[in-house]
Formats: sequence, structure tokens, C-alpha cells
Amino acid sequence: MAPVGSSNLNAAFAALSDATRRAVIQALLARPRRAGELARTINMSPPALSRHLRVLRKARLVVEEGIEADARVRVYRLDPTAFGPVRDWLGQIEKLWEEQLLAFKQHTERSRRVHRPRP
Amino acid sequence: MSGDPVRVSVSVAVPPAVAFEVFTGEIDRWWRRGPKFRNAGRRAGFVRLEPHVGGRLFESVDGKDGELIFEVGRVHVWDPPTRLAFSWRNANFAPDEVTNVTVEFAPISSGTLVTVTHVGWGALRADHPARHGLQGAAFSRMIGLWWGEQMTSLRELCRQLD
Repeated sequence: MAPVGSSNLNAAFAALSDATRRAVIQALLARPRRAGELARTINMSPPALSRHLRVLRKARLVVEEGIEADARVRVYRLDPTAFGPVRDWLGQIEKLWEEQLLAFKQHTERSRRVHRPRP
Repeated sequence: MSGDPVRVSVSVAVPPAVAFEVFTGEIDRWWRRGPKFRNAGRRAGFVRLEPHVGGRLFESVDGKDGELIFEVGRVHVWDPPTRLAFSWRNANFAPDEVTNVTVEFAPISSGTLVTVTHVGWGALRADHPARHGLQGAAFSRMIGLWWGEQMTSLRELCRQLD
């Protein structure tokens, strides 16, 4: 997990404090999109959008890629590693329950005659 | 909110009826000890699950001035030997914040598969102290609700792309 207050995390949250940029993330959750398509989806001029995309790229929430067929076309997609802390947080809760269930299993199997299925 | 499940399973080598009985009736015997799992920390106390719908899941702790009760939640499904469900609130939750736990006991050839499903975490506000890993000044309440709503899809996405 990224340490609390790490600069990556702060940049990510600062980037997400803007409604337009959240709309971009939301649109990219469905699938990667071209810049022009993104601009239409969130109803914004391409120059205005490109400023927001720059912030999202700097925060490493979004990555920009070219496509082989046409070097002029830029495609944007989410960078899943930026969202790692979110997943890690739910992972911690999962870990707690794993530890609890293991303790439950050990107690149960120690204190009860274990069930042996017939071969 | 049900879209952000934490789900964990374990197999135990006893029939479902026994697994259910131990899970509920002997909860204090297996519930882990220490500050990570109990409010008691290193003080004496016990965990109890009252065996009926409406029953409490609570922890009793020996405090300086007598017994302290920490209610975790209430049973809303009591269906031995297959299913159990209860609400779940950590000590630091606001009054209107609640998550829910379902425990299922399924017969398998080696005994019972016990599955815990814990839902509702995504609905907690983003600056919630329960979210230790995400605390920080930049993590403001402003983005909190949105974050909660998106958490499920983000998590799924991370899994897909990993």
C-alpha cells in the first residue's frame, strides 16, 4: 500500500477534486476512448478537455497511447495501478475475515470429531 | 450498497449443523484476540452472538468502572444450519453508517464450506476512519461520495487489468 500522504496519492486525489475530471474517469471506466470522443461524451471543447487530461496524466490516473493504425490518434485509458490503494483497502478487510475464518476452522476441528467422508 | 462485496470462504471438516453451532455459540472461543480484532485489546472480556433474529452481536469488556458493551450489530437472518446474517458497525462508525455480513454454510464432501460476505463498505464516507489506508488531507469529503460509488467498478477494473 502507498504510504498515507504519499505524493502520488495526493496528486490523484487533487486531480479527482474536479467534477470534469471525475466525468472523464467515469467515461474511461467503461472503456478506453479517443480524445475527440471523450470531449463529445462530457460535452466540452477539445482544448478545454486537453487541460484536464494533462492533470489526470500527471497524477498518473490516466495514460495516453497512440494506436498503430494512425499515429495521429491518441487514445486515453485508466491506469489501474493508480487505483491500487482502493483495492488494498478492501483487501485489508478481506484479510481480517480470512484470519478470523482460519481461527474458526482451527477451533472447530480441534474441538470436534472431524467429519470423515466414506471412501 | 451491495456492489462492493468482501467475500471469504473456508472449509471445515464438520457437518453444516456443527459448523453453524460453533460459529455462533462458541464465537468467543474462536474470535481472534488483540486490538486488531477486539475493542478489549488486552483487557478481559467476551464476544457473544445472541441466537435469534434481533439478537445482538456484541463484545463485553471489563472496564475500570465495570462492564462496557460494544454492540457490533443485530441478527437479521437466523436460519440454521444454512444461513446467518447480521449488521456490522465498527466503533468509529457514525450512527447512520452500517455494513452487513452474511454467513453461509454449504455442505461439501469434506464437511462444510463457510462463506462470509461483507457488503456496504463502499457506502461509507471516503474520509472515514475505517479507511485507514486512504486517510490524508487531500482525501476530502467533497470527493468522498463519488469515490464510494465508483469503488466497485474501480476495484473490478484493477482485477481485470492486473
